Amino acid sequence: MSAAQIINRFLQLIPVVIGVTVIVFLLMHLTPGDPVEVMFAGEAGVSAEDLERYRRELGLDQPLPVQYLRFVQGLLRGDLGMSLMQRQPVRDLILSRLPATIELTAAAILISLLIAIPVGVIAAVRRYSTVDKVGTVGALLGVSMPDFWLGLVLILLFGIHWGVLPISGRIPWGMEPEHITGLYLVDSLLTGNWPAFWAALRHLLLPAVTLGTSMAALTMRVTRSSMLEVVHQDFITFARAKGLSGTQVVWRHGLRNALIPTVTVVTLNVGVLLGGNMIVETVFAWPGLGRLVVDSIYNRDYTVVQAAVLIYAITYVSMNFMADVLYTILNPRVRL
Amino acid sequence: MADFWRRFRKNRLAVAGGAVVLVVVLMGVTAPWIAPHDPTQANFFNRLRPPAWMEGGSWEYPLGTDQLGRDVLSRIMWGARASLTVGAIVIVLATTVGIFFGLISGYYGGRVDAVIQRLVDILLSFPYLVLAIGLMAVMGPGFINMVLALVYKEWVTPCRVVRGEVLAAKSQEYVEAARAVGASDAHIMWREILPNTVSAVIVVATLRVAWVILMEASLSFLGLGVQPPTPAWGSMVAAGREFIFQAWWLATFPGLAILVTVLGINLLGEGLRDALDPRLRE
Repeated sequence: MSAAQIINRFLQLIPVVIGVTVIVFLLMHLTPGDPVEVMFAGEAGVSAEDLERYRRELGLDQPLPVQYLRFVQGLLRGDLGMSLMQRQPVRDLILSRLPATIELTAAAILISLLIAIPVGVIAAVRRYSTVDKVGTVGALLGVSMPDFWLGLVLILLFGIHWGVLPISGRIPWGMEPEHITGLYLVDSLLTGNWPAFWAALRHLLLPAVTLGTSMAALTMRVTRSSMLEVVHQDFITFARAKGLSGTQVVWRHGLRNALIPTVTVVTLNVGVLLGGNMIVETVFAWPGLGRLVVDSIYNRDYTVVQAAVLIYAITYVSMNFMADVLYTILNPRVRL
Repeated sequence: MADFWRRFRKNRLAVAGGAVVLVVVLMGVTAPWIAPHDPTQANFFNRLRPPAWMEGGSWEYPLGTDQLGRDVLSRIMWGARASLTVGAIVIVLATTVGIFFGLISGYYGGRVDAVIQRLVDILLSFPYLVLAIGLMAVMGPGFINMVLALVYKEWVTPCRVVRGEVLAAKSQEYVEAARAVGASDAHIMWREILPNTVSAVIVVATLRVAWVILMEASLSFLGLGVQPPTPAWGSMVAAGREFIFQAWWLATFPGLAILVTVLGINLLGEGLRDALDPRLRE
């Protein structure tokens, strides 16, 4: 893909992103009652004039298009509004939760790849073998299993029955490593804080496996089918004819080409993980963005929900864009 | 058709999936007659009874009882109704809307197509559960709101499938022939093209039911979907989570019901795909 085509593809994103902001903006206006009512619900001593004054201050008395433009102007300045319940900027709330979610998502992707790629490759190379059959059944189970249930089953087994892994939170209270990136594993590594590293790792394991399972299933299927296609192609036969060993052919020549669709699918499925993390973070009391959204729904803190939905959508759009770009960069045969 | 049956029957996994789906549907439909207990009747003398095969359990409550003393098996049977109804209604509505927009988008092309496809792009920019949760958050929990929240995004899938089929059909001879004899656009779309998209639509709809049921369960798990005391598998798992230290069976069995149902539908859907329309593979 030439630079011009990447730019063109990027420009196509603009109407989509504008549409996303419109939908997210309108989402707020579907709410029963307005934000000011929610803010002061149940508080004594607030008069109708007070409410009216707050509405004016927040610009809620303006016509919708004006409110929308203000919303977008705010976004461009990085202003996501104020939390209705916590009375602090939504941006700060979200930033404080983001590292936990990034750490969990990254670990889930890593785990899913560690399972899916070897199994997918072996399943393709040794078609109809035990590994292939187990992998196929496992993948089918993986996509059919609700992640909240898998999380609870893992809690039951590893947390309660065997008692070998912690079942909630990121790290025991007071053990947090010094704040550098906010990612506990990275921060504890950087500061050489091994007890914190170990504790964070143990806390991360179950939620990451839960979140990574459905992705592992999808990735395994794609790796298997693209590997099946690749192993029958001429350049593989040629590599074999050159006298390269079977393992070398499979892992160096085969996998490199089979990975192209895999990378695309993984990138596209980060969006699925974004939805999944709300569920998994709820199950494991993981203090990330997903948990913040779910709590905010219960608290009717609509500005937080709105901002989070927007962030999820923008991340998803960027991931789709990246998938397209990666696909063309990795695959010399595709020239869009 | 005979050809289809022969191919479908040969696929043992698909037949097994179909059997599972049939059992779950029958279980849901006949729940009022076959369920051993009233699913909403609390009985505080029977709280948190373990399943029959464990110490303290009895065959009166084969899968044990919950925190209010309600029979878990009866609630699972009734819970099938929630999942299947939501799955069926959402898919029927979404498929109807999707077929309509897919047909006109593919048939007319140009501006109509551009507008519809931009809308599709925008909806696709939201991760599925994120949009559904966002909508549920502002509309409030409940059955109808959940159906709406899921349809908002679900119609996109059949729309894209039908549009693709229409684009392929448009240049075919039978469409040109119909046009040559002066058939109206509506006639060509509904009578000529639509029947040729049916197998693709059926396959996609079946596979999507599985997804919708998972989403319904997730929303109910978060407390946004079907509201208590109506039994739903997702909310049963959520309630079981509160008692996970005392009563493992509360979260385990309803989740197993979701897994088995979704697995059955997936197997059935993949079998239908291979028998009806092998092109749709991957």
